Amino acid sequence: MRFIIRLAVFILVAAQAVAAPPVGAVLDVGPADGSERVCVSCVPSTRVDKAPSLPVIQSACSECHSNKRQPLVGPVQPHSSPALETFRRTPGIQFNHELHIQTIACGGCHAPTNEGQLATPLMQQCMDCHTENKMNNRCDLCHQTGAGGVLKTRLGLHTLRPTQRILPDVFHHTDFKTNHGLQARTHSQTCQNCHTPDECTTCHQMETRIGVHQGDYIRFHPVEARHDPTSCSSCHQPTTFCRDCHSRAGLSPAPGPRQFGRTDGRLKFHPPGFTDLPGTARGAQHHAFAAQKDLSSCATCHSPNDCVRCHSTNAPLSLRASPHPKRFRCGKALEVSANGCRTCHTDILSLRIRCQALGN
Amino acid sequence: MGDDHKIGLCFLLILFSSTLPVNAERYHVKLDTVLNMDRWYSGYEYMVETTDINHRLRLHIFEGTPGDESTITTFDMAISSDIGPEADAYRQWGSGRRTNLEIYQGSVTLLKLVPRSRIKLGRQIFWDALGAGAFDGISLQTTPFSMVHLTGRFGQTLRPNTARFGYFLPSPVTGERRRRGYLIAGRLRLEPMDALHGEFGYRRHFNDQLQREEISASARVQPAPWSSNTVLICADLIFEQISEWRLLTEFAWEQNRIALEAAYLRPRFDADSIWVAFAPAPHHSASVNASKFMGKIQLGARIDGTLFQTDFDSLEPFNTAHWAKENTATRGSLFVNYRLSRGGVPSGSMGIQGHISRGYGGQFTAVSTNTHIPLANSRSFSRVSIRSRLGVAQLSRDSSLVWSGLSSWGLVGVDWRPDDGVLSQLAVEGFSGMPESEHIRIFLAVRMENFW
Repeated sequence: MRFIIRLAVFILVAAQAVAAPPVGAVLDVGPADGSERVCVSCVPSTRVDKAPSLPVIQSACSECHSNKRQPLVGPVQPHSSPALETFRRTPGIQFNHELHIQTIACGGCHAPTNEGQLATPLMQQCMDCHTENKMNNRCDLCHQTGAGGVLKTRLGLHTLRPTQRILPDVFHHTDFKTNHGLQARTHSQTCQNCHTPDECTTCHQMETRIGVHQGDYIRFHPVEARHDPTSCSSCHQPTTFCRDCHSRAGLSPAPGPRQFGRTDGRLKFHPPGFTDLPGTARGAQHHAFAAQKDLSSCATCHSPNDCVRCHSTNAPLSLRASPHPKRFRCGKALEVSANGCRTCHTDILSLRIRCQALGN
Repeated sequence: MGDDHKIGLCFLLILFSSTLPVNAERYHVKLDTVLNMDRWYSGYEYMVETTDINHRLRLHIFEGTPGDESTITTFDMAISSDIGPEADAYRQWGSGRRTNLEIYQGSVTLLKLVPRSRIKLGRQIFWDALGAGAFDGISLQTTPFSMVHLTGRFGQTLRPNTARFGYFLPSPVTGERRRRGYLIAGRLRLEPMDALHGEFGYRRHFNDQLQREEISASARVQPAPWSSNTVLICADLIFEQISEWRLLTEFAWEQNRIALEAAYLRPRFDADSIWVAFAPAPHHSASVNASKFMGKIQLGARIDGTLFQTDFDSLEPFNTAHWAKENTATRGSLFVNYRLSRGGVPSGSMGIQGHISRGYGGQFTAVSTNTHIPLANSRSFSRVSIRSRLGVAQLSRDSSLVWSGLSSWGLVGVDWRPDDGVLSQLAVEGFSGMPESEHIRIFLAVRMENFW
């Protein structure tokens, strides 16, 4: 508690002490690469304006770029080229011309197009060139970063997103919101270029949001919960979230006015035949299958003691239904830990001997 | 004054402090307050009502030159209150407490203490091929060579509530102290070339009553710009069995994408739990996902199926069941979205989606529409935007479901952004369907941040 209070006071004092621009005032979207300094047009701008289809003369570049190793100098006007203008309008790009012209001729990137205009290299060309020359292809080489080295993704009217053409495996495709687990697990570093862990926990810690589930999901969730329970537990904690609601709805063994098991026949969570005894044909809804499919869901409401009542070697009514699969390696389980075994088996020594005799 | 009230008071202080001007180069502050009032017909005779309020603070403090920071301090915490109206007996959070404090992260990252390395101390979350995890402790990430990245972690694992990334912790552990354990984890990431990434992971989670030990390997191969392939495999070292594998292959050309995924997942349990002695059924699944852009129109479809490999060789003296039908389930979805634009700038969207799910206790089919329209704006952001959704669904009865029939719902929401860094959201959602079950849900959120 004291820690919390101290933290609150610290934050209050820190926030007061720091003189800074108003909230939200920081939006560093400048022209890409300082493009005012780019170049004089290779062809006089008047000619380009009147006849945009005129081919650009490569040698004309030397009027401004006399030596490819020299930085750009002189009075500058932007090239009149739609492609270049698009590039200049794209915020959040940083590009060092001075560095690049040390190794690449102007035409290497700005080769004239069929329409006679100066081309601007596509991102793929930049990446291919870097790959060929064994240079790094880190995102932050070209895209602006904010504090902590995370890419700036919100840039005024624009939002920076990975494109399908460049990065198909991290492209934010149609169901990316609900199916990105594999990408995050296998190359989380790529995600962390733009996202901080806070953003993950926004959904994965069940902060209330609208739009994840379809509208009347409360009615349909049993179907999907049985289909893919681990998907539910990705954001919802069964032992709190699920049980809390089920308790309110009377679907819980927890005591209360709507207690599970009331005899009016309407408050049954489990379907008929769920606990049919040995000797009867098990229906598909029998708890044995339900437990095999998703034991975690059982454990949301039930403790091991509920299972042990019938599955223990000391169970009453001579049920003693073994839950073990046929290839169960009891020797291995005992070797790891006998704690779980003791729940049902009182005589561990004889159990160990039996397991050794079985050779597993 | 009780602890809950003190915590609430502290968060009020934080709330007011965070609205003050702070230097966005050194401090990133994000504060969300969400009020959610929900009321639904449980399907079991009566109406269930809940009202929750959640405050969440995220704070990053950067020290050092902007862009070349030496230290990053992170806090991520939330306080949520169940404010009724049900009786206390229904509250399950921490022994029925009304107010719950969660500290998701509280860490200091040292970027320059060791060359080519970063050290993180405190409460943190992380990912590797085994999934996400969380712990209190230390992690060291180093890059001895440009293509080799090594990470080591050690600490006390948090209670699962703070590490609930499904595939990592599907086991029925609880927040009991005896269930807390220690974590040792390592990760080796190799990037020999842009087209090939590989990763190996190890994780051991243990204490005197808790054991879990796993290894993982994953690789991503991009042989051509239009092709990407990812493979992942995880194995349990204690019981020496494969616990999971996944294979994803994607083809993308122009604005089209097709992805095929196959997976095998065996439920994981702590080695000391009695649950490991039961017969968990691994599930096999496969999915196909396709999307296509046609100018302003985006089309997408997805279909996936799951098969549980229920074990019929258990030692129980039961008769065989009619199981085949119930062991498979399929889902499919389809959508069309139309992007609105004004002057080349995206300005909203309209769409329609369909979804069908069958198997495991029922079947439902749902169709819904969505609209998002920002109103005219004079600055770099839209001050007001309107969202709406309309949907209808048919739920087919199954033995385990009490109610079936036609259900419909509608949502109207308004987003108001008075400033770049403040977003207020209000949404009202209405439902109808089951007789005498019509009701509304209210969602109100205020989100503030200073690093736009």
